[in-house]
Amino acid sequence: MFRLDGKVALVSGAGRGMGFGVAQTLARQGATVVINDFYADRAEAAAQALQGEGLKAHAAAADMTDRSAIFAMVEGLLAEHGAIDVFVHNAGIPAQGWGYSKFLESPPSEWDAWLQLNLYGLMHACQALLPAMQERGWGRIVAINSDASRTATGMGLCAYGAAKAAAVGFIRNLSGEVGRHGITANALSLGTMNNWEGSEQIARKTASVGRAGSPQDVGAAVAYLASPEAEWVNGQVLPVNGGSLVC
Amino acid sequence: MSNTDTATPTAASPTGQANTAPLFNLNGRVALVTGSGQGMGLGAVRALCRQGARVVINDFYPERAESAAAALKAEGFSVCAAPGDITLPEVREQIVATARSTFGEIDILVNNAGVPPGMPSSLTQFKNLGDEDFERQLDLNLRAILGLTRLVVGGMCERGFGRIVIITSESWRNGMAMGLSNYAAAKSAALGFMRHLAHEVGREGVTANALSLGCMNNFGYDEIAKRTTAVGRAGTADDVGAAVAYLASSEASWMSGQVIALNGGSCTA
Repeated sequence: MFRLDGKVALVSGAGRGMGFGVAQTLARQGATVVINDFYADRAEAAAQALQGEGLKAHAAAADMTDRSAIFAMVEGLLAEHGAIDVFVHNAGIPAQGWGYSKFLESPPSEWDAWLQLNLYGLMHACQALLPAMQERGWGRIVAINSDASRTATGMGLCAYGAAKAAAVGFIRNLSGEVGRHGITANALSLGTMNNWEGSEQIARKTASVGRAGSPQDVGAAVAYLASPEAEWVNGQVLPVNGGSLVC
Repeated sequence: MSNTDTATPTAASPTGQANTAPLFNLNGRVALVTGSGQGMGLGAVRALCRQGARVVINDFYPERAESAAAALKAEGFSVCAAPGDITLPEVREQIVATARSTFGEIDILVNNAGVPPGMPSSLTQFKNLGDEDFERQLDLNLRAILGLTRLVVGGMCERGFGRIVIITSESWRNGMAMGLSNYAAAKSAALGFMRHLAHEVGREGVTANALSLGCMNNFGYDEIAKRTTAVGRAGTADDVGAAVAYLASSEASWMSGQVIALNGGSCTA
């Protein structure tokens, strides 16, 4: 059960962190993974690391806010691999870095950076990928989302939360349009992850499991959603948050 | 799963061998699935078995439990039957004792039984329901879960691993005029319990979650599901089994306190 042999998976922002954990897990399940990253050297290094494990991995650098670059990447991958069966939109932090901005101090240009990557990047990629998925009658779209889409964090994440909430609305509606083509569209709503300083101390207090989330936690949930066995999970947002938010 | 695994790309492993150990492996685990002589519960049993667990099959009807156990044994799986009415405290104790003496301590409790004898033909609108109708649903869909959980959760915490899964129904949150008010009230109550339990035991390696099922293929709702789901079909025992196997796995250790909708996309709120 849950194997992905013969499937091709594209994971955006997978050069490190949560995205790399997703790519590694999918590859271990048998998929050929394509590691997208904004930074070509990160994508290459990540692909080489997985190849070193004996896994099937390739690098494909592209800016996930650039529609033409996304379409060119997808076109190239379809020509090379014949299909992209699984797409995980993990990239969520703009190239200019993580911005902690209180709303009143945040310029509209900053809002746009979050929206371009977290909403439009996902939509561009889906428009590029879905025709081939529909033709084959099988596909899995997984959007990595955040509990910031539905709860206040007090961390200056208004624009980020808004962009993530928009992506959830997109995924929910998309599921209704593609479900009868054998395609599912779901999201994971992540809680406090272990990829930033101070997160463990926070998670120890707030997560019922008592720790911050790891790339392996995210990878396992994606592997489930990407599997043939999860065909009937569609249009859903699965909270992967250590039990910190249970409503 | 190690929480200290790095997610930073590293050099090739010394052996150059791929780590392809299967995800969601349940070798060595013992599971109890209530109401699993047929239908969705049997799907959960089958999936847990396929992932390597040894499974105790409970059903109200002894012949169903025995028949399911015989069929799975014939396929080479490690199962045993422990039939009985789980609304009775002494029966719950017997079931857990059977599990313990046959396979050992219970690591995974799947509270699937939720349809009392007579349902769904007994569906009745609220104005015609008596208190006893609510009690009957609460006995099975809340009190039996509390009772079984009480019997196993202490040991789970001591051993540092446990999985409590409640099979619930989208009727807990989605109003319908089908005569399900007593059923839905009991299902909702169990979710309130589950969410608090998750916080009480999460630091001891025990998770508690629920699967909220939509239109399944076991009560003649296939035609409705074709219209109402995004996927275009009713849910199956295999759909339920796969989700249970994920939630029961070691890899889902950071998934707790959640209600996961398994509904083919019929409700995406």
